[in-house]
Amino acid sequence: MRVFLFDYREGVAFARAIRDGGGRNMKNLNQRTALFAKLALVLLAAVALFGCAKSDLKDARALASLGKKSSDNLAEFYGLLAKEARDSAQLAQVPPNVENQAVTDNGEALAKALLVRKSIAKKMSDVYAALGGLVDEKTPAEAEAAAKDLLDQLKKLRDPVLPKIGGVDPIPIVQQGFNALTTLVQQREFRKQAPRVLALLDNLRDLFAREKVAYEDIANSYERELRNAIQGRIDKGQVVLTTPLNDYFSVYSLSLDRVVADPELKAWLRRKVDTQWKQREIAAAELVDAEEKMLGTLAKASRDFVEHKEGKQESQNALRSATADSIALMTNFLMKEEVKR
Amino acid sequence: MTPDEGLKAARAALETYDNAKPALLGSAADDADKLQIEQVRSDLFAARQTAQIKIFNASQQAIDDFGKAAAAALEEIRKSQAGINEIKATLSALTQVVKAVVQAASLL
Repeated sequence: MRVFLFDYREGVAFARAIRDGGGRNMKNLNQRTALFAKLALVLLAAVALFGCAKSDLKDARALASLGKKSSDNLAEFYGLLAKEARDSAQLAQVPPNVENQAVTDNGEALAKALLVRKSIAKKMSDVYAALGGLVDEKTPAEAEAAAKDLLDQLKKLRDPVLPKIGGVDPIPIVQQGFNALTTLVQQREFRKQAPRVLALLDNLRDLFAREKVAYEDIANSYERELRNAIQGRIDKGQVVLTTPLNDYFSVYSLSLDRVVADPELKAWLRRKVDTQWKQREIAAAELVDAEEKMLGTLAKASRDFVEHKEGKQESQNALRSATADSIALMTNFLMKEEVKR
Repeated sequence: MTPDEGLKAARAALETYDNAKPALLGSAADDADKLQIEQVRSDLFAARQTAQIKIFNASQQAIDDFGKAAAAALEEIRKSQAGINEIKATLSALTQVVKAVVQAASLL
């Protein structure tokens, strides 16, 4: 592999020559000087670019990490929708509704389609994880360790064997240079791959935008079927009243646990369910919107990074915020699911 | 009618029917009538699901393309990772160079 001016094969060949030829080759001071001069030049160049690359790498790591987090959240969203599609089909067949094999089959087909989308969101997460692997902090640390090893050897080589290059001691350069060199290569590889990942993300966003109407409809359908099922049970006096009044009664250390038969209480429960249903419908629509917004901010942050745009820090902050919002909405929604069950 | 329009129409039909259902059930002559009303509701629900499925089916090619592109991206990233690993090998080789120089120097 050729790194800037320095071809490591040259160094390896030199090492082999030393190994095979013994001490005689070491008398060629010019050859050694040339090798170390090249090495020092490469490392000096790396150190010169290091500050910029290090900052870029920090952004790259944050972007990869946020990209993975957002993709995982999207996968969870699809998983939730798959469950709702299947549950809607079951709820739509609770008596007095009739059983219908087509409804069951469709529910399964929808769940399957949504689980495919969950798997592609997971793939997106895998891609971001791999992208993050290119800029992990371990590699420069390993390079530093290798540099220390090299440095220890170089110390043994100091005058008169290791020549100073233009009067400059190469040891500090080597020490900083190896870390810098690795950082630069990481930066270069990340930037090479980032546009590919952005293109993939754009495809995922297009898919989401095209199908958004179906996601909203599945969430809406689930909420409607759930409400219908609950109100159907209330009408038949089959609902055990525990939670709604217990919220108020609990301050007196009292609770209700009985089947609701009273018509006025039934009507009150129906209204209460209607109110909660409307809130849940809104929350479900907000969740779909939040996922779309999160994907949009992820694309913007990725694009700003790829195109070296000003304000990429702001776009990363916006992505961080959008992902946190989406996770909070999802958590809130899932907690309601838990309570409901 | 586009798949989006189809879904909107299916949803509207079901919601309209749900709103009218209490009145329909109230005017039902017997259980057979009630069963018929529920059967229509179930068919409308199935139609709504079918409209949702149509939207997903329209994306099948995009899903397949995404899978291939994701696999290709992962492969390219792996190559980049291999390139970075090669740097580590380079550093190791350089260290070997110097070690060899040290050994040779000790012979002088």
